[in-house]
Amino acid sequence: MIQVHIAYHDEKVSNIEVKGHALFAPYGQDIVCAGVSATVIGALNALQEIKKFTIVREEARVLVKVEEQINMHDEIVLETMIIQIKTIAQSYSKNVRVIEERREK
Amino acid sequence: MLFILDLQLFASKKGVGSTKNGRDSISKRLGMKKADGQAIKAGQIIYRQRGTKIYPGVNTMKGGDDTIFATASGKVRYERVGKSRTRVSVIVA
Repeated sequence: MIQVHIAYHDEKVSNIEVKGHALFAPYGQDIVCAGVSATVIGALNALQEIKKFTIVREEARVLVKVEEQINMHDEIVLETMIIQIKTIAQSYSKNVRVIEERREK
Repeated sequence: MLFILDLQLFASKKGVGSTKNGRDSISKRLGMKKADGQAIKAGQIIYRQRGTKIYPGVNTMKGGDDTIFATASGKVRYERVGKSRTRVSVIVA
């Protein structure tokens, strides 16, 4: 199962970690993994101020950490990515789980 | 694009097993080298085989590797012998 940990700080995304295996189908045929991969990698490529993030990309793991205040564009990109992943998780709840953690000041 | 997409980034690699097959010997190009009715010279090969799928007949001999070859020049003739055997001969013109 792919686990998606999203941390919010004052209602703004501060940290997104996507890790694990979808285990929907064998390698090469796993459409759930393909959906999540395309969503995540697509979002990373859409970010404008890439230097304001710490991005770790490994086998079956992607971490996106917001290090500084980001612009509206990148906020929307992250929000869109989260909504897309939630949409996938809604249809494939056995293969994708989204865990959200909110911290206030 | 900064990040290259791998559509199977979150797919399990466990499914990818290794196969114990995938080996084969070099083919030995066996089989018929001269067909029925074809002209042939003495010494030429008629049939390459393992064992005696085809038996030697008149004006032909069997080599050490079961190859059938002509011992005289003429025309190749395949004949059925008994219920299930085939023999090849060379008919001298």
